[in-house]
Amino acid sequence: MLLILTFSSEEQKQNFEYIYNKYKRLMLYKANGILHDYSLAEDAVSEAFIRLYKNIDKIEDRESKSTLAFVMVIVRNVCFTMLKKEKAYSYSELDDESPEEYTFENKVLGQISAQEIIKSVDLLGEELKAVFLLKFSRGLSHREIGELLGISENNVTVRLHRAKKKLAGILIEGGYVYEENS
Amino acid sequence: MKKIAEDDIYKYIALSYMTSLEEELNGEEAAGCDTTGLDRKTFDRIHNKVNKPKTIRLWAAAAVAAAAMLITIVALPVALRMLDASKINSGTSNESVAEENYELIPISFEIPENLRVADWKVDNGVSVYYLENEYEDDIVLQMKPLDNPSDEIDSDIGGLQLIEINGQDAYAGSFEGYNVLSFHDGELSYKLTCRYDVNTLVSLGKNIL
Repeated sequence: MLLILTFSSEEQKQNFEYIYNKYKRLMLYKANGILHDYSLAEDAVSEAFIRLYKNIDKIEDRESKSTLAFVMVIVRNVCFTMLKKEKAYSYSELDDESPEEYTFENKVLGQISAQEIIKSVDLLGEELKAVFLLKFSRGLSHREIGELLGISENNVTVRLHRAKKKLAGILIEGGYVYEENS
Repeated sequence: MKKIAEDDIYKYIALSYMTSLEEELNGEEAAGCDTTGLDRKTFDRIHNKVNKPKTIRLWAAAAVAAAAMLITIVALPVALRMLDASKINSGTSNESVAEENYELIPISFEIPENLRVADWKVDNGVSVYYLENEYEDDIVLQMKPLDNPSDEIDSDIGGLQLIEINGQDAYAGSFEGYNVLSFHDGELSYKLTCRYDVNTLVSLGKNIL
């Protein structure tokens, strides 16, 4: 289906149409895997692409694999937000205030495998993970992240702060971060 | 620097995670998915989003323009009459009014690498610096001469907590939408504000004290 849209440049229009047509099936498949409801999955993916459409200037290389991962992060976030509204999924990490203040001061990151990184980041939970990944893998501003995830800038700030603290705790307690001179 | 090292670790972790995600997704097929419904929903929603904001913007622009014109027509003559009246009552002219000149207090401490002075001004005796932060938590720094070192630190905002920076007392607080740090060094009084993280201010405070 040819979407008739309004963009500030022809390049942005082509980027969006390329990404939409290339990834819509995979995103729908993934969303259905989370929501287990095809109609809801359509709603979630269309919402994700709406947010992408409003931020299409964030896409530098439409054919890059990183673009696929970027779209997936947004779709997953929309899906879990919908689940939360349906009260079928409870977010516990926002209530989990770590009693200790973890810091990387005078510490270094040791050997950590890809699987261990995946496991550590997944432990953040969906809400904190999305903010963390968009901030540190794409370098997006708090405002841009808020637009992509449908939350306020303040909310982004709070979630990012919690994500960093929680991840620091996970990495330190997992033994992946240790004292510099040890 | 501590902050740079921390963010480097987070960047490494985030990029590694995304690389793994890319590899997991790359090559995945979902050929059986029918996207007819998705296409219709997406088109409808984008089409509505494209039209509505433009319409709203046009009406809003028209309303603002009309309000501005109304204010100009009504308020300008009144303002001009008041200005003339004040000149007559004061019995002075612009040339004879002595204006107090406040000099900009220079920055005498080392500015961290992630900050740069984007702008500055003197506002009624207070030197104000706008510091652009590479990490996007921009800082507004206000400095003024300390009249009396025994005066309490400017803590006109309630809810500040006493902390210590390099052995000196300081007051810090986090509020809805902004953070504040206040202290003096015996000669100048400092007030720092930023939007996101009070630690941004504490880091700069350590360079000042």
